[in-house]
Order: sequence, then structure tokens, then C-alpha cells
Amino acid sequence: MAGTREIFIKELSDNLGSKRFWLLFFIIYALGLFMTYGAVQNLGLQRTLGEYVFLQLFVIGAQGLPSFLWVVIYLAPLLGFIFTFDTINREISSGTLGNVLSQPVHRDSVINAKFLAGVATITITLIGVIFIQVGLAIRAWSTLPTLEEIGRILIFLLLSVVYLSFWVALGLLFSVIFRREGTSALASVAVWLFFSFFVYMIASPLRSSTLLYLSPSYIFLEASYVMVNPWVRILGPVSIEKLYGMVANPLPLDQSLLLIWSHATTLIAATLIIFAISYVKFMRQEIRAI
Amino acid sequence: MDQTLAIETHDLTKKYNDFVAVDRLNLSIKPGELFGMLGPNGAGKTTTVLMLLGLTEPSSGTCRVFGHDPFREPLKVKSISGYLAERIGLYEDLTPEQNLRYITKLNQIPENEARRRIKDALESVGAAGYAQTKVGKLSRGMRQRVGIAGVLVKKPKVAFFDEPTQGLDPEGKNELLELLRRISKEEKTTVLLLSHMLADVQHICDRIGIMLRGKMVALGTIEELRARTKEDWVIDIEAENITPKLVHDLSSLHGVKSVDRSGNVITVRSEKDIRSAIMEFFLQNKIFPLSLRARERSLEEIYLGYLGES
Repeated sequence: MAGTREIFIKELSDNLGSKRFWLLFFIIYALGLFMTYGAVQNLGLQRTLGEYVFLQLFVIGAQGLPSFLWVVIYLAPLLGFIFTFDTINREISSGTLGNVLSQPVHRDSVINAKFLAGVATITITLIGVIFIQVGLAIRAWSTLPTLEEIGRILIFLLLSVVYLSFWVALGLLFSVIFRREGTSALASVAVWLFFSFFVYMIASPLRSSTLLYLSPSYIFLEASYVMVNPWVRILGPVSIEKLYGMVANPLPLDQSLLLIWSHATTLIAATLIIFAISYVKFMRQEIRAI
Repeated sequence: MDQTLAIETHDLTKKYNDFVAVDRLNLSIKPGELFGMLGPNGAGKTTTVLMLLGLTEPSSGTCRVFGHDPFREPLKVKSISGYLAERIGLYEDLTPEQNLRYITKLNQIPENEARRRIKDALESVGAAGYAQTKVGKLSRGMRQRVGIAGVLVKKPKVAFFDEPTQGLDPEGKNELLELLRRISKEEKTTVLLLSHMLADVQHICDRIGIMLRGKMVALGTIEELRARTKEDWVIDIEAENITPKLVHDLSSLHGVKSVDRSGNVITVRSEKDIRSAIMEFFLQNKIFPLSLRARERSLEEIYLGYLGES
């Protein structure tokens, strides 16, 4: 598509050069590194304990600190929508979108490139921090991750990218819907708060686990927990009958994958639906207003 | 037609729900022409340009830019036309040079060529000294210039300028208009200048179209527009030895509506240009006027006349 590449490069460099990026980048990397350090300290050198010592890096927090998984679930969504919540409406109010659209580019190149740039930004960030964590652990333990561990970490990474893409798409949607940047920022934060925290406050008194599945945060939480925790054999409400005779062994990778298959597809579908809505909205927007 | 028209519209219409923004517009502009589109805010000027650029879909009718349909070949049309919107649309956190570079990239202009064009464009608009200053720090006038440079780097066959003089001081305005005239004449670019200020288009445009409520109510050169209005000619004659009889005789001349005298100056109002008749009259009376001058009727009045008519 004409122009997608050029717009993508500009958006990506804008993202990576922005102050908001470096602020969150610093927080996430600092937390990630601190947690790894804590996890390494806590675990000591316990390669013999289990085969999945590298996975534990992501689920065990340092003294009292939450785990890295927690950071990705609750904090990283900020990184997802912080670039996109004003990406369209700001360009409309400053008139730059009109200028770009009067160049020989397709209209959808703009929104595609902006979405892809958001996804690329979070991917780069996540790859960086996870690789550094694994690298530190390799150094501390003087041992290499097994193939299974590498596979699980990569799938965890992939899941995280999909999960954060959901937030990228959500920010994009709000930037298309709302004229004012302040409104779209508040809307993004409201949805983030709801899915990350309030949904539990509603679901737990109601004792409704189905309600939780409305939240992409919860879906991602379950899926990634299964990925970095091979001992999880079953999800959702468990009956005694089901537990009877169950072997307390870690699951092989493909079995864990089967367990979270629906989670992964749900996340991908949700992301695509949100993106599709913003795409259609953007394409139908009267250019007069742009 | 042997020559392709730069812009051609045929019954071009745009409706927003019940509101008709552009109403069956028929317009032909020849290549190289500097065309001024005049009209109050909301007359449909910008909408017309958006349709010509393929950014807004016409409700009915057709338009062509150098023979290309903006809706079938939007990329083709956009690559041969440049557009400076009312809000200039430069990235404030980038320098003029970076802004222009982005435009050349979107236009797939090769790097070497782009570098040269950016330099030339910034020089020709007189913004070369600010190439490395962030746009956010530039004055309104300088931004306009950079915006125009953004149009120039594309080397367009047709350029649209939407209210380019808005918010400029008189001096800046004149410089900018002169720049547009130069672009039109030197680069052989077809220029469409949109404005609600008559003074903008009056002196530089080859032809002017006055647009009101979506319709082109008048079209032609300034002289043609003048001839078409009902306003009187006002002729001042300065002469010595003016007698009341002379004034009286003058007022009985064919076509004269009124004659006023103040000191040595007689002011004649007439429907038509009767300067030769007046001259003859004076010569017959053996008086040689010191001066005879038709007051240039300001187009502003003509424009306002059109506005009043509707």
C-alpha cells in the first residue's frame, strides 16, 4: 500500500523518540530488572529444583514486589495506548492529517501504519526487557534455558504482544472516535482501570468467573500463567471429580498450548475487532472535518 | 478538445444531508492559469478543492484534474497536485526541512532529487534561513512560506492554496501573493487561489470566479467582471475657467447621470464609459482639461455588489 512504509517509519521514530515512551520504558525496564534480580536472589541457584527455573523469573517477584507477569498485565497496557490515544485526533486538530492525505497515499495506509507502529514499539520494548532478564539469569546461574523454556518464553512474549496490541487498538479507536485528546486519554484510562481492577471488584462478590472472561487482562493473565507455569493443568472452576486421579506433573508445551488456545484466539479476535471498528470509523470520517 | 484542461468540472455537486455545499459547478481552468476563487466563508470553495483532490466524494457530477478522475485515480491526481490547506498542517516538532523530507518520502521522490528540491523550495520561498528551526517556533508568515515550499517540492502541475494570506500582516500578504504569482509564471504551474479577500486575488489572478452558496455567480477577468456590474462610471475632470453654463451643458450630455463641481474639479457619473464624449465636449468649448481620469472602481464594491444581490 502506497505510503504505509513511510508513515510507519515516521510513526515508529516518533514513538521511540517521545518522552512518554522513555518514561514508561524506564519504569518497565527498572521494574523488570529489579524483579529479575530479586527472583535470582530468591531462587538462589536452584536449577535442580525444577526444570523451569527460567520461567519462574517471570512469576516470582522480589521481596514483596509483584512479578514481572504483573507488570505486563497491569502496567504495560499503558505502553500500549499511550502512543495511540491521540494519534488521529491530534493530527486532525493540527491539520497535519489533511496534509498527509493530500499526498499520494491511501487513506487506510495512515491507520494501518499507526497501528503497526504501535505494535512494533511494544514488541521492541518487550523483546528488550525479556532478553535482558533471561541474559541476567544466565549470567547469575551459569546455566542455559532448555528448549522447552525458550519455547514457553517465546510464546509468553507472543501472547504479551497480542495482549498489548489490544490496548494499541483500543487507544486508536478512541483517537478516532473522540475529537479531543483529553477525552480519549480519559476513556483509555477508564477502560484500563475497569479491566485491570474494577472487574475483580464486581466479579468476586458475585462469584462469577464468567464475568472475568470479559476482561482481556484476565484472559491474558490465565493464558500467560499457564505458559510460564507448566504445573497448571486445568483452568476455570474445578470439580472434585476432575481432580480425582490427576497427576501432579508439569504439562508438556503442546498440552499447555491446547489449554490456552481459546484464550489466544479470543485475544487476537478482540484486538482485530477493535482495530476493524476504528478502521471503518476512520475510513468513513468526513474529510471536511479533517 | 486538443488541449487537456488543468481542471474541469461538470455539474459538480456536494450535499451534506440537506445542505448543498457545492451546487452544479461547471468550471474549466487552463494549464498555467492563475485562477482566483473568491467567496465568503462557507461558499463551497474548500469543498470544491477537496473534491478535486479526491478527498471528498461528490454527490453527483464529475471532475477531472489534467484528465484524471480524482476518484478513480486518487494517487495519480494527488501526485500531480499540491494543496496548502487553511490550517497549514506542518508537524510542529519537526523542522521545515524534516517536514518537507516527509512529504518527499510520501511522494516517493528519490533521496538525491529530494535533497535538491527541498533546498530549492525553501530558498525560493525565502525560508532557507529557518530550515533547521522547529516549525513550532516559526511565525505565522514563515509557516505559510514553509507550507508553500511543501507544495513546491512536489513540483505539482496544479497547486491549490486555501486562504494562504490569512493572519498575515499587509507586507507579508503582498510578499506571499507575489510569491504565488511567481510560482504560477515561472514554474508554469496552474494555481488555484481560494480567498474571501478580494484584495488578494484582484492584482495577481488571470481570472476570478466569485462563488456564493455553492454556485459560481460570476466568472471572468477583472475587466469582464467590472463591465458586468451595474455600477456607475465616475470620471473626474480638472479644468480652469469652469462656468455654471458649462456644468449645465455637460449634464445634458447623453448618458450622464449627474454632475458635481467642487472648485476646479467636475465629477461626472455615468452608466457607461463616456470619456471620449466628455473630451470632445470640452474641446468644442475650447477648454483643455488639466486632467481627465476615470476612478478605478474598486472590485471590493463589485464583490460586495454580488454579495448583496444574492
